[in-house]
Amino acid sequence: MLVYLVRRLGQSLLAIVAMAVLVFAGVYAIGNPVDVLINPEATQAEIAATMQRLGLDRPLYEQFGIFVMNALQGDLGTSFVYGRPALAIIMERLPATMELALVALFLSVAIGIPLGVWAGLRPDSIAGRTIMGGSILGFSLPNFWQGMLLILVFAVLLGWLPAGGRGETTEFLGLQVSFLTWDGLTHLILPAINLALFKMSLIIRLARANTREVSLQDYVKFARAKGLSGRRVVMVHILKNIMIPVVTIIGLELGSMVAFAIVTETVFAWPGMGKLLIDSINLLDRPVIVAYLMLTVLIIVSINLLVDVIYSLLDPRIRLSEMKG
Amino acid sequence: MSKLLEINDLQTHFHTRDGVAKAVDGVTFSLDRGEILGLVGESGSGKSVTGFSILGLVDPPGRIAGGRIVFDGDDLVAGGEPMLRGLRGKRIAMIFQDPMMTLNPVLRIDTQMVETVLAHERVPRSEALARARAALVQVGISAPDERLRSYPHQFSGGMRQRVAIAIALLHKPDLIIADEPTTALDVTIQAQILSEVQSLCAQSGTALIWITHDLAVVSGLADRLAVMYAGRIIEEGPTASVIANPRHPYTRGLIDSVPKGKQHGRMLSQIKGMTPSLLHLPEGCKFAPRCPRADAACRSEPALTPTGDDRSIRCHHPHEDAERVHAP
Repeated sequence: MLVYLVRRLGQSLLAIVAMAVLVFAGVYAIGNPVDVLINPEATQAEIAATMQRLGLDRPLYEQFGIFVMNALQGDLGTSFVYGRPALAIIMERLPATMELALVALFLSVAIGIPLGVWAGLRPDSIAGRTIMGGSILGFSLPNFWQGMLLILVFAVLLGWLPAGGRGETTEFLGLQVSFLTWDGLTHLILPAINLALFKMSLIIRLARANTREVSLQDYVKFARAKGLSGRRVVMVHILKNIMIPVVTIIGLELGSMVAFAIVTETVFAWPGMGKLLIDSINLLDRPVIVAYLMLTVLIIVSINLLVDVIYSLLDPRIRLSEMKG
Repeated sequence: MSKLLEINDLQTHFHTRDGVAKAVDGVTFSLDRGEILGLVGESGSGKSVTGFSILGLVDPPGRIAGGRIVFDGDDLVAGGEPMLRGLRGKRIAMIFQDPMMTLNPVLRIDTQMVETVLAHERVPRSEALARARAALVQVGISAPDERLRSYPHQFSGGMRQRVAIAIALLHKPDLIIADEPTTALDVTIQAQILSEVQSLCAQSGTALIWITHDLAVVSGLADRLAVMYAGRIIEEGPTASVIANPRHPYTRGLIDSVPKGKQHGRMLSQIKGMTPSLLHLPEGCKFAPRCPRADAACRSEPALTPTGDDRSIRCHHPHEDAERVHAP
């Protein structure tokens, strides 16, 4: 297990380094931020001075070297726009996005898996067909449109829930969170559902397909032949087998939820880091973009690492073969 | 004493898009306590479906369309799922064909054994575990404590089948249905498992239905044989008598197609033709198109008729009863 973890950690580091090079080179290629930032009437000398101050006059490899050296010390650069450390600006927005993503993930798992298993056990029933039909809508309708429709129905027509913002927040483990206050919770529900719908549909379909496959296996029939209750056959024998692919997808999708909550955050005016990224790209605020992308990479790589560990806990066959290798 | 199991005119049908496949069509047999019945037939003859029908484990689109299965006085078809669940694993156990597939790959052996005990009896986990351990010892698995904490993939096929047999024995059932349990195993392991099952059943007085396509395997094991063809039993009787003197042309064909010694250089005889599709069965006797003895009479279906010597045959033109003819 230890050997496996160390090797897996090495792969993760390699992925982060590769992404750092790509991100830095990619952002460099977008354009010169000074053109956007500086007063159009500035003289050539002023532009040159600004470029020198921001370190933009140096060659790419030198800029990258400085970036890496600073990054290793936890400094991802200073925002051109705000004049403050980019990482600090992002971290202010991170809890809001993480909260939104985690609540959405919880919803999609807590609703998606039971519905998917149900549809898998009774594929020809009316409920099973309805669930599958609904899931097609869930991931084929554009996300932003679903969000707008949710606002229209629940905020405008029915007036049950607020249309945007984060509402009242309280401190929880040193972070500002919404879900512990009633006002915050009402603000959280709609964006969380909006972000969850696509993943929920994906999990429903995955759980259904795997349930259908697993429930035809001999070991499920054998479990029934042992006289186990239908409940135990489904909750233990089938569920534990379908969790292996489901956990993989959940891990991958959590990363993308955090990274691409942008649409939902924009529709619901949720003050997360997705909104910050859009603003930063418009202003070519290079340190913030780079810091955001690096942080996203770090989150996704960490989640994947975590998923691999959970995966090996779920499937004994993986544990053994990887330990040998 | 009443019979342990009586099956009367069992009908198990599969409703498919192309029509109704009558996988089991009028199967009738009975079993005494402690008796071993060999249920023999080719693939698709309905022998496995018969076994699964007893436990109510026929998967959709299959369902029992008619007939009675009476186990120790209770009608299992009428009793339905609650009655069946109480019997499964407790009084009627089953062993499956492919040991690589019957154990859940993500659950440890102890989990899979303990849950079987707890499904039928309210006992402490420690006691259930002790019983699981004893069952493993009973089927000849060494280092049972270590084995209990293992996962199925750490076992060989033969070992897995032993575990499956141990699970079947946990509640000392009255009846074990074994669906070709040695087909997927090496010949040497096959013989071991066979003799073990035989002695375990003899010890505990457990009746056994051994489903197989292999006459050689079952002839040394079973008290009685029932030969199935196209969803019907076509010949039934004491093993020694049926093997020595097969009277249905199909049974005779099966026995003749088993290679014997002193036959070098001779063609192995075989039954001509193929097993008919269950969706397009011939009129009358289902074996007639492949039968060397068929004539106009075979256009009507023969009934399974007792012949007086504890045997039954479903044929208009059975082979002569050789024993009776040549008896001094």
